[in-house]
Amino acid sequence: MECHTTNSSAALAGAGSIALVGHPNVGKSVLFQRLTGQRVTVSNYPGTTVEISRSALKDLPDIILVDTPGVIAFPPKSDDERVTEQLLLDESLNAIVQVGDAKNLRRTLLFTVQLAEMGVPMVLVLNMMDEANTRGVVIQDQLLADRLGLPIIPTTATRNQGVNEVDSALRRANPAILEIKYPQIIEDAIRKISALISETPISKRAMALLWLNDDLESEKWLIQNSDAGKVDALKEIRSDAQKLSSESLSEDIQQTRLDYVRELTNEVLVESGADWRGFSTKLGTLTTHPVWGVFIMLGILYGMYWFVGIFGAGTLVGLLEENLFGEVLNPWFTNFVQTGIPIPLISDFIVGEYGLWTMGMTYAVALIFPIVTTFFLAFGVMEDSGYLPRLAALSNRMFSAIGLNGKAVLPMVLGLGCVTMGTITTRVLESKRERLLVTLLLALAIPCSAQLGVVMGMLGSISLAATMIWGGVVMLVLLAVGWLAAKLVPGERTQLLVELPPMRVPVISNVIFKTLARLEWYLKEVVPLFMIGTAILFVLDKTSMLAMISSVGKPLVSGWLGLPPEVSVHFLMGFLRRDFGATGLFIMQQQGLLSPAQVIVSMVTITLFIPCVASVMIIKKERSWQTSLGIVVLVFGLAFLVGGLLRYALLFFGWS
Amino acid sequence: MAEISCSMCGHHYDPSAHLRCTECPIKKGCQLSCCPNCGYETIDIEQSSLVRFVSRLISIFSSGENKNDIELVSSQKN
Repeated sequence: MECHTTNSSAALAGAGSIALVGHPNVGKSVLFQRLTGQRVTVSNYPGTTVEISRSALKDLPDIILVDTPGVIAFPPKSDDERVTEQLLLDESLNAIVQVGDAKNLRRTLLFTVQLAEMGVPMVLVLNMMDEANTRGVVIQDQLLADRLGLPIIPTTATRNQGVNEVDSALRRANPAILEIKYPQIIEDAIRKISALISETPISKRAMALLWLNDDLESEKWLIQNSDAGKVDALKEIRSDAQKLSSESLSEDIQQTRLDYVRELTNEVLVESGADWRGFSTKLGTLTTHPVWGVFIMLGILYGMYWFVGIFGAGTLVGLLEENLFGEVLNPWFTNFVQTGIPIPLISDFIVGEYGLWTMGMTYAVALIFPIVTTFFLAFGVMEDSGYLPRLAALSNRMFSAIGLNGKAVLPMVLGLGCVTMGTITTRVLESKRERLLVTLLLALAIPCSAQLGVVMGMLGSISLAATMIWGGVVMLVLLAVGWLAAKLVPGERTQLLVELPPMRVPVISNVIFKTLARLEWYLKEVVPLFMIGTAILFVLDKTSMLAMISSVGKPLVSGWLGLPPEVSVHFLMGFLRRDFGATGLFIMQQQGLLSPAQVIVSMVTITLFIPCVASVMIIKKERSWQTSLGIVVLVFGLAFLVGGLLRYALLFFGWS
Repeated sequence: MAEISCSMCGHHYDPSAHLRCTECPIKKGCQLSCCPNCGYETIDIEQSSLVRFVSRLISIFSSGENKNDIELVSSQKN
C-alpha cells in the first residue's frame, strides 16, 4: 500500500474525525447512537439535501464520529453515495469504521475492498451477528482479520453486543494490508496515474482506481487540485487503457474484486445455513415470483376488498352510520340542539346539512372510522408478515417492464401510506429527472392509505368488477404515464436493492396494537380537519358560494364527467384532505345520488386528482414552486381527461 | 429507548430519535416515526395513550400483574 497524507497508525491520536460508512440498512445509525450516546447534530451536507449526523465519541470526546449515508459502492449513483464519497475525499479522517451485514458477507467484503484500498486506518464491524447466527452463518473473524490486516469486530448493535470492542479496535487500527492484483493494463495505468498526482486524501492507488472507474467526485477533486496539463495527461492514460482493454475498465476492476471476494469468502465462511430455508422462505420466494407473485398479490387484494369493502364499508358502516347515528344519535342530538339553541344559524352550524356534528363528526366517526379500522388491520397483517418489501420487489418487475428505474418502486410503495413521505423518499433516486418523474407519478396515481380505504369501501358496495375497473384504470394510467415519461426522460436504470426479511405468521398483538395506535393518530388528525372542512362548506353554503362552485364546475363535472354538479365541491374538499372529498362522494352514493358508473368515474377522477395540500407543500419544498404548479396543472388535466374517457367507455359497455 | 425494525427495509432504529422529522412539513403532533433508511412510516405505539389504556386493561383482566408499557413496544420488534 502506498503512502498518503492520512495518519497511518494512531487513529485516535489527538482530535479528529472518524467516518462510519457502510451499505444502507446495516445498523450504522444504531451503532452511531451506541458509540456516541446520541448527542447528535443533524445537518445537511454542504450543497446537498442529504443529512449526516456528527457527534463526539462517548469515551473519546475529542474524536467526532460522522454517520454517513448508506453506500452500495463507488462510483456513487445517488446523492447519498455522492455525499459519503465527498466526505471521504474532503475531510481529513483519522479512520474509517465500516459497518457490514454479517449475514451478507460477500456483499459486505466487496465494499470493504474498496475502502481498504483507500489506505485509511480502518475497522470492519460485522453487525447483525444475531441474525447471521440464526441463519447458520459462521464467520472465522480472526482468519478474516489476518487476511485483510484489519481489526474485525462482530456486533449486534441493537442489543449492544460487541459495541464496546469498537473503541479498542480503533486504537489499533491501521491501513489494511490487502492489495488486489488487477489486470496488467489497469496496473500499468494505476502506476502512471500515481506518478502524476501529488498528495491525495486517500491512497494514490484508490484515487487512480476511482479515476479509471469514471468516478465524477474524484475527477472533481483531481481537477481542483491539479493543473490543467496533468488532468489532460490523466485523461489520456484512462483513454489509452480503455483502448487496450477488451472490456470496460469498470467491468475489469469489478470482476477482479468479485473474484478476490469470492475466494476470501469461501475461505472464511465456515458454514452457510442451507437448512435454514424452510416454509417461510419458500413462501417468500413465491410472493416475488413473476407469475405466482401476481396471483398471490391479487389474492391479497381480493381479501382486502372483502374485508374493507364488504365487511368494513358495508356491514360496519351500516351499523354505525345508519343504525347508531342515523336512527339514534343524530335525531336525538338535532332535536336537543334545535330546542336548546333557538338561533337557526348556530343550530345549523352544529346539526344542519353542513353541521359540525351531522356532517363532520358523522363523517369521521360513523363512516371513516369503521373503514380505516378494517384497512389498518389488513395493512397491519401485510406489514407484520413481511409482505410489504416483497410487494416492492414484485412491483419492481412491473416498473422495469416500462423502463422505469428500479429504485422508483420504494417511494411509490411508501406513497400508499402517505404521498408526502413518498415524495420525500424520492431523494433516494439518482437524478433530478428521475425524482421529478416519480414525484409526478406519486401525485397522479398513488392514493394515500386513508383514501384507499374509502375508495375500496365505496367500490366494494357496488361490485368486485367496479373495484377491478378502478384499479385497472389507475394502474394503466400509472404505467402509461410512467412509460411515456421514461421515454421522454431516458436514463440509465439502476437496480432496486431491498432486504427481504423472512415471512412469518403475523403476531396478533403487534397488529392490534399498531391498529389501535394508528386509529388514535388518525382520529386526532382527521377530526379537526373534517371539522375545518365542514366549517368551510357551511360558510360557502351560507354565502351561496357552494352553488357558485357547483355552477362553475358544471361544464367539466357534469358536461364531461357526467356527474352531479355538487361533486365539484367534494373534489375541491379533496384538496384539503383526500379522504374528506372521497367521503363526501360516499355520502352521495348512499343517498342514491350517484349511479354505479358515476361512482367509478368519480373515484378514478378523485384518485388521479391533485393530492392534498400537505403533499403539494412538500413537492414545492423538494422541487420548486414552478414544478409543483406544473404537476398540479398536469395532474388536474389528466384526472379529468381520464375520468371523461372512462365515462364514455363505461357507457359503451352498458354501465349506467 | 426501545428500537424497532422497519417493516419495509428491516432497518433497526430508535423511533424516539425522529431522525427524518426535520425534513417533514407536517410533523407537528405527528405520532408516526419514519425509518431513517427508507422513509417508511411506522406508528410509534409508545406514544399512544389508547394502546397504554388497552394494555393496562389486558394486564388487569388477564393475570392481574402490572406489565409495563415497554413490553408492548418490544413486541413490535421483529
